[in-house]
Amino acid sequence: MRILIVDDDLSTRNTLAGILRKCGHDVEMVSSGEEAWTVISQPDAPRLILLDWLMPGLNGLDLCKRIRSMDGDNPFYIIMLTVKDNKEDIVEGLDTGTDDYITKPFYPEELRARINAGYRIIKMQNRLLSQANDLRNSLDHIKTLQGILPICSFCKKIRDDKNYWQQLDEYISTHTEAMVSHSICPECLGIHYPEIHQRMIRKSTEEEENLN
Amino acid sequence: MLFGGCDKSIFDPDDLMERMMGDTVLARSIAEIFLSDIPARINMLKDRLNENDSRGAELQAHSINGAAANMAANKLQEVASRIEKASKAGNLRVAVTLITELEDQLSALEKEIKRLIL
Repeated sequence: MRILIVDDDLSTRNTLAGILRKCGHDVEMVSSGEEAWTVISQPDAPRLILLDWLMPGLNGLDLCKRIRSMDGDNPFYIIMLTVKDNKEDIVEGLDTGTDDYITKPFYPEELRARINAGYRIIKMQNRLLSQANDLRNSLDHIKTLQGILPICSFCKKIRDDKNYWQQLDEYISTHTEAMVSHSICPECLGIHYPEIHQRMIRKSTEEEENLN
Repeated sequence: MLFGGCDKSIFDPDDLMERMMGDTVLARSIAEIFLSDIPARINMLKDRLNENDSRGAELQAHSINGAAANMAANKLQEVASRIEKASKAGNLRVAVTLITELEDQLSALEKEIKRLIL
């Protein structure tokens, strides 16, 4: 998966990138909160961010607050990087909206496991988002059919929202998922094709007699 | 890989190798990046101390602290951590007196890194 690394220390940044690439991830690196914000503001930004806490300029905590203020349906997964002995930082970081943390120096197994945990959340989020979109689309259709349909008492055409009178079959095809298959009922067959109707009646009478 | 005859408090190559997933190429490249970058970091720290910028000094010392932790350089990390804490507390005089120790630790570390992995 695509991961954004934000750390002002060059060797830490490259260590993270080296290990994550070995684990098969696609990595982007930036050295400041400001650069990170530029990347994150793009619509196709990586959804998982490894964020250093203390950096000159825009620090990890403030960047995290900024990201959370613009999070939409598909929030970023943020893992904070802190130096080992700062327990208070970890609590403050989690309270501010980071999803997880990794202490420096980090070990590849822990890094891999925490990244995977993040990946699971992101995947679940994407699945829920697509299900919610499907539901929203279905609801649009249901709404159309639940409204009051003005229908002509004689020709049975339906008036749509643009004041246009549509044939019933045309209306159903454009406003629902249902498909229309055309046929003729026996009564209409009698009116419009009396000969075929008579022939069919005769045929069925003969069949009944043969059976008896 | 086992490294004998080294002072692990200065540099712990086994710990570094474990964290680089046993990849010597990656470990060497990280060590080279570290050694080329850290003198500039120390200079920036000195600049912040000369400017009496305690917050700036704290951030630079923090960055060295993190880099040293990543390099399995325990003594360098410990001195950087002391400078970070002194700067945070506003004791810049204490922080300044620790700079020599920081530079001494870096040169000891550099020797060990070059001897053992580069």
